[in-house]
Amino acid sequence: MTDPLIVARNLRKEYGDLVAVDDVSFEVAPGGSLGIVGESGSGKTTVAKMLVGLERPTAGRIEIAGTDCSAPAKGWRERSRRAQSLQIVFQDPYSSLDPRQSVGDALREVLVVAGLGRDRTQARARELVDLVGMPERVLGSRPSALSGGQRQRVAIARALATEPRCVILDESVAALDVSIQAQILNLLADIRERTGVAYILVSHDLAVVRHVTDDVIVMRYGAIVERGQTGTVLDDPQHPYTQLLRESVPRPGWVPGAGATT
Amino acid sequence: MSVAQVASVVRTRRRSRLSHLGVIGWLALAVIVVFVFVAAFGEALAPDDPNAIDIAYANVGPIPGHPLGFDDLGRDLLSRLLVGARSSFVGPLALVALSTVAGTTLALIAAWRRGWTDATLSAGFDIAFAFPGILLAILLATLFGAGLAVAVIALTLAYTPSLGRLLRATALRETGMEYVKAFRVMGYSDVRIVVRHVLPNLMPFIIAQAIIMFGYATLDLGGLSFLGLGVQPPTADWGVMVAAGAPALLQGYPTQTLAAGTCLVLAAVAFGVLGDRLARMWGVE
Ligand SMILES: Nc1ncnc2c1ncn2[C@@H]1O[C@H](COP(=O)(O)OP(=O)(O)O)[C@@H](O)[C@H]1O
Ligand SMILES: [Mg+2]
Repeated sequence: MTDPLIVARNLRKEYGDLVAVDDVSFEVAPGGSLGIVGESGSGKTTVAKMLVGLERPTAGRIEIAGTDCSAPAKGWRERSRRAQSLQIVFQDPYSSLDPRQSVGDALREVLVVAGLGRDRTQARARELVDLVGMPERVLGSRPSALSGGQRQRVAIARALATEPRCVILDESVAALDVSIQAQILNLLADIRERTGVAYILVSHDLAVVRHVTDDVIVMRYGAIVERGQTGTVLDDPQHPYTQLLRESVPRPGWVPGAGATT
Repeated sequence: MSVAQVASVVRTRRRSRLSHLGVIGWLALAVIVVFVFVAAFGEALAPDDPNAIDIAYANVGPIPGHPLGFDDLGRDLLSRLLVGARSSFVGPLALVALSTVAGTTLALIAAWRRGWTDATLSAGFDIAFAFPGILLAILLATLFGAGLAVAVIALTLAYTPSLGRLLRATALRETGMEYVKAFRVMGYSDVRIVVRHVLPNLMPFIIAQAIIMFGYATLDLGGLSFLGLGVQPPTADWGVMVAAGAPALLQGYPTQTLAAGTCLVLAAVAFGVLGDRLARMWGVE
């Protein structure tokens, strides 16, 4: 068996008296995919923020590609080294891009910061918009000229720009129309096949997780209540909370994978 | 519309055209353009030597070639007014530039570092804000002697915390945006994120505040010059002229004080209105 790409051990996060994340452990293999589900407030985003170094765990250990990443990076050198391993796409497509920056400038800046020569950034930026299924002319567009779905594609392109080994998607399709959600989820599956990138997909929506991930953990009040292969857990949930989650999210009119047959 | 969409609309509106200034806004802009022109070319525009004393003409009213008449020393009032524009704006310009740079830097540091840095700076803002600038100016003038430089420094110490406080709140909102978090995860340095992304997004707010501040600065520095703590006579300066005209005012020759005072107030109002209109136009009140 290959070494896991990401290891989280006994992660805990307290905000004052509130325990937002309580003894959470999981692994993600290179090229693997993990879903994290749970209702709002169950601690999913906090786990994601600790993984990318935006929050410091109260306790526990994080290893990414064999390196200890338990605490937020000190200084930008370490920050930019970690950036090569793990990226994140946030939920809100309206605030996750700098409103003053064109799509092309945004992509080129990531590439320049990552050390790609300026002469090669233009070509790579074109590749990236192509990878997320957008026409080249969006390179000149400001975010305000794009729809939510388009912005989220740009955010995904930006996260993939430096070819990280894993991307976290924190409710990244939640704000989008169902048909756009399906398109983007299919895009993610497609990109994974082509590039071998691993995903951690955070969602309160079981259908979304089922569509993209192999394994899943179910969180409640900061703790994991159930874990296993996505199909098994969602088809035959053992924990009453998972059963409840499954019943409480009816998605009439949307069969996973429909809307996306190309 | 979701909150996110509303936020997006607000951000788009920031770039709206100058046509949204409104009549009042355009009027204010026109007044400012005239003042700036006079400040730049006042000496060339002045029909007479602003410092030529001729007691024979003391407090003489308008005569051909001297449309505003003369002051108590027989100097041509119009010329002094035109030449005085520069002195009346150089001080505020320095004051606004210094306070804006200092206030912006401190606000960005507070918003970026958060935690105890923010708490310390905010407390500093509150304390400094409570201390009256005029009092500070009097104190510094007693210690270092009266003059424009001392007045500008004193008012910079008073203006910096008020801009700092205002901007900190806005900067906190901006640094909390997800794009800032995304840039950190993407390995951007703090300096890059703040200077190339956060600061440019705050510029509409900063510019509007600086223009509003300029209005206050003309009045406050004019006031200090009036009190003898700023620009010193016999330099032609509106604040100095308001004070110099006071004795004549009591003798029934109000022209000098009225003319200089009107210029000061007009400038203050014009900058205030323009700053306010710009802030509204950019959605950054
Ligand atoms: N910065 C913070 N300060 C205090 N409490 C927080 C903070 N961030 C999250 N929380 C709390 O931690 C809990 C988990 O939040 P979060 O991880 O965002 O949940 P989820 O992403 O599953 O909706 C919630 O109760 C939330 O209110
Ligand atoms: Mg969340």
